[in-house]
Amino acid sequence: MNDENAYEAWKRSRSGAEAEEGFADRVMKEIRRLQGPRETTPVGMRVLVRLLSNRYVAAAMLILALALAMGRTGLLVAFILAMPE
Amino acid sequence: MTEDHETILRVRSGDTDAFRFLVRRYERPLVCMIRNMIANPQTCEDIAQDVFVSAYQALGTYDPARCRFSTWLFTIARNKCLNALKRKSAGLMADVPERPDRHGPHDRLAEKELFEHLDATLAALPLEQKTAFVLSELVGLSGVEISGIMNVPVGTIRSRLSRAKAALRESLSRFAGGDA
Repeated sequence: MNDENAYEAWKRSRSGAEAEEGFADRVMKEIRRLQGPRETTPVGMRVLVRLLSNRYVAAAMLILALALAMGRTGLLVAFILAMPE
Repeated sequence: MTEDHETILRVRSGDTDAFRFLVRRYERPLVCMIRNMIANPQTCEDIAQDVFVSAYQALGTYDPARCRFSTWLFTIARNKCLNALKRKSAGLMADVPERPDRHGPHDRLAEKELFEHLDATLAALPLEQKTAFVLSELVGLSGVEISGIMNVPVGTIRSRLSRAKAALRESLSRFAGGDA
């Protein structure tokens, strides 16, 4: 083997390095792990949880739910309850 | 719009799985680069994984108008390698997978010795020369791309490359001379 061939063969040997099998899977798994559970929770659920964590919004929604459950009388009660002092 | 850019837009819009395409596309050249700069094979895999995870996390900051995605990715990889080398100033490089045998036992031994000799020469090169050589000759990037990654003019890259090649050729000649 002459010098030029040896040099090219050596370069090929060093450029042949590859990632181990399943490398992409490991990367994607790590990305999902770092993202945490937020990614798996539906967007609607996240918005609802955030809204309900505000006590005023939670109270308003409870009143609305009561009003809907009790019909017209409930609506009136809910309206009185929600009226500012 | 390039395939990379389309994929990046999909990832940014919430399609995490689309990022797998970029991993599959760049894992080979990236691992090649890192393996030629870092000693421990396990560390190489860890760094390569870290590069992709960091790229995913910083994808929002990537600006396609400034450089190609590959340039941006290799810049992250270079910085990670430099940090790893700073933490552990190991000059040796990783072993690379053995190639299929096509020669007799004597030839194989001579070739192994020669390759080890060249590996040692490459490992002993100044880091900037080694980086330029690895990116150009082993990964196959252009001078302009390497210039973007290393943040120096193309002329400087050519000069570093030339010095690295000269050192390797001299090493090769010395080995051949000593062998004869």
